[in-house]
Amino acid sequence: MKNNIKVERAKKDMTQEDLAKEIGVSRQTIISIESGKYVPSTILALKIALYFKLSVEEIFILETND
Amino acid sequence: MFEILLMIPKILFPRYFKWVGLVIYLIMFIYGGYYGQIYKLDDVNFSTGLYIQLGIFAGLIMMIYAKLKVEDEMTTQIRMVSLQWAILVFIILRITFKSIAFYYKNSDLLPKYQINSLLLIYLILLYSQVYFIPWVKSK
Repeated sequence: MKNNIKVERAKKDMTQEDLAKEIGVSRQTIISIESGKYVPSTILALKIALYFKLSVEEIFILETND
Repeated sequence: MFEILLMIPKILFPRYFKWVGLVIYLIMFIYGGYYGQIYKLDDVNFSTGLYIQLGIFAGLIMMIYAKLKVEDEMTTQIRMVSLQWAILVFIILRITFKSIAFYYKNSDLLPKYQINSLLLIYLILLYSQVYFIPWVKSK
């Protein structure tokens, strides 16, 4: 699974820490999601999408080998 | 029933329990070391041995179930994965020490600490993943 969190974050000019605080998770979680090491739960994915005012599919993209 | 099984592990102690647990653990561990040289910890005629062992367990349980700085779904997963790894490492260590004891035909080399060391391995794995590994990743 790919994700555009880094891009969306850059558009808003936010740090990982800011995003983590807004969503209520640790910075380590954001780092792990961005680097693709951790797949967030549906609730967290929806929260991220809601924060960026986008749909979940626009942020998280399914890859062929998933 | 399943909801209760999922809910109970999410109940955690406040953060300061980590330090309270560490202090209790260290005091009991050092005291147990002195006491163990004179008497046997499992001598059923004296209750001091039981209190030392209860103290060591209480300290470890407090450290394990203390809240981390930020508790989110990833830390829940880290806890779970750490426990799975701890069981694996624990079994491998125990079997290794047992094999060594059998090889040298020396019963003093048999592993003595049981659930204690499982909890300790779990604790080390948990905190190393929470504090060190994401810190390395972020570079």
